[in-house]
Amino acid sequence: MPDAPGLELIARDLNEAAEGSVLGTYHEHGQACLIVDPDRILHVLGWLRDSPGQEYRFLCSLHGVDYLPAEPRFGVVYELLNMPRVERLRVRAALADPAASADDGAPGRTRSRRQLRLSGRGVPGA
Amino acid sequence: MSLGRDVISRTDAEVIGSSPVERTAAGEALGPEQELMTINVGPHHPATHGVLRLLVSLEGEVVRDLKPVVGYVHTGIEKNCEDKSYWKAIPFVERMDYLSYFFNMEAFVGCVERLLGLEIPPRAKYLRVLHLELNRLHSHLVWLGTAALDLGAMSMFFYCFRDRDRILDLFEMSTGQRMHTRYFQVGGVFEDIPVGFERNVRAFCAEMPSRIDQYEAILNRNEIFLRRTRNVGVVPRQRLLDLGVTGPLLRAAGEPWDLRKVDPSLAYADFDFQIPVGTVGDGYDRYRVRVQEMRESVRIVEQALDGLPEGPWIADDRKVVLPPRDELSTSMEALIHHFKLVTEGFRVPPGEAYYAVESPRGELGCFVLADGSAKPARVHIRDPSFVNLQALRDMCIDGYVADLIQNLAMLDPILGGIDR
Repeated sequence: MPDAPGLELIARDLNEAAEGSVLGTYHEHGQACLIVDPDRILHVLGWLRDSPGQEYRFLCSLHGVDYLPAEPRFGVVYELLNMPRVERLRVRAALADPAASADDGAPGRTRSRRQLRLSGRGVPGA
Repeated sequence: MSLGRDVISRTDAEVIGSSPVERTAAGEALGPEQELMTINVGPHHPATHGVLRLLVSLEGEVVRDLKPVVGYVHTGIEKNCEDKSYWKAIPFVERMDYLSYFFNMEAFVGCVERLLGLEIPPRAKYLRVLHLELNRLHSHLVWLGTAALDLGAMSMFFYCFRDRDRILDLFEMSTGQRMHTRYFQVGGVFEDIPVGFERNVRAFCAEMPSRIDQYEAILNRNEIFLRRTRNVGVVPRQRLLDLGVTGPLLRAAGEPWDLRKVDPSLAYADFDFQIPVGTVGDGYDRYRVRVQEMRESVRIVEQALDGLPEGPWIADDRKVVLPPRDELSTSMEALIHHFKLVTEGFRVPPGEAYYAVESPRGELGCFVLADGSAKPARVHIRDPSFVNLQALRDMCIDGYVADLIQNLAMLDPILGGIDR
């Protein structure tokens, strides 16, 4: 996974590509995480997938999380993986209310979104 | 297999898939004799390997569309875990993919250990690897027996279950249970292996390669098996990656992705083993990859026994791990720890973690959100069967309905893991 400076560089580049897309970053238990604006989640995931040097093309897991009592309360969490570098990156779309969509990022998302809806979690765009 | 109606209307066809077949490849409208027929395969059908419903659109015998319908054995395991203390959630997650219960445990327990920052003793790592690989053998044996049975090779079912039962005997010897053993604990394993276990495992490992030779002798030159599997259900490697498919399915298509090698946890880095890969990505490659994985698992088990370190099998952090029984009668502090752990459970510092292991079906990941209490605030399991099932449509489209059964068998889904 990217180290702390690497994560900050990713956040800076993302914000340069689309201002305000990254709301925060953190490192936890050796894993890097980006907190992003749910309205820009498509752009963020596309940028992470397609940008040279990033290439987080594999979506390992997609799940909804209730971060109560934190605000924004909900998060849709994407566990991304760069297979050649074996680097994992977590992207969290922070949601006060389900409002975003990541339909076009990868074919594998469809079924996971359906499952999120079944489990009654906040499901952006499902 | 239950027939719904003989002919479906175009409106119904649109419900089934995003691209209903209304025209031939040449662009001509389908004639009456080419009308699509929709049938249900399952949910209660032995060839679905669980409670899986497949809505299949057929043009004659050719599959034109397919939609898996899941959820029939949804038991709310993830939600239930939020209401249990961490150590009481272990038996829940164990029962998802009921053929790889040690892997379910390892994913959850490993994730909690990551949140705690707890390092487990070397002996515990080796014992976990030993049981995980025996479990992989057990899972692949069940797959081989049932997949061959789907193609008519009934004897394989009996042979594979004979050896699978020997593995269950070993599990019973070391853990007290044949299935759902709850052997892995946060901090290590529940108990050290008993006297005689090593001897029995070595005897099993000595015999297993010749058993695999026999299985291959039955299937590798069986004309029916070869014709039913070769060049059937081919999905390109890139398409599998796009779908998020992992495990033997992906490796059979030529991608050497195995978490035991690329991101080794526990003691996997200590062992010498190879990752079998296929070239075509058809049913035959999936069979060959899994059979070769069984041989590699035997090698890993033997190496784990050879290098099994001495020492404790569980960490000695009294805030997390139950104190030894003999301390309870001599130490008030141990008694207090025992009482607190059993009644309340241990607390995990706030945070979130994702931990993945290479299960017999691919990447089995566990995400845990801790809020500082003794219960997880959120548990999510990335079950490989759930993700891999997406590839079934690609495997079956424009193939014969008879091959659908074979494709499903080679996919090796476990519905307990899919629905959870």
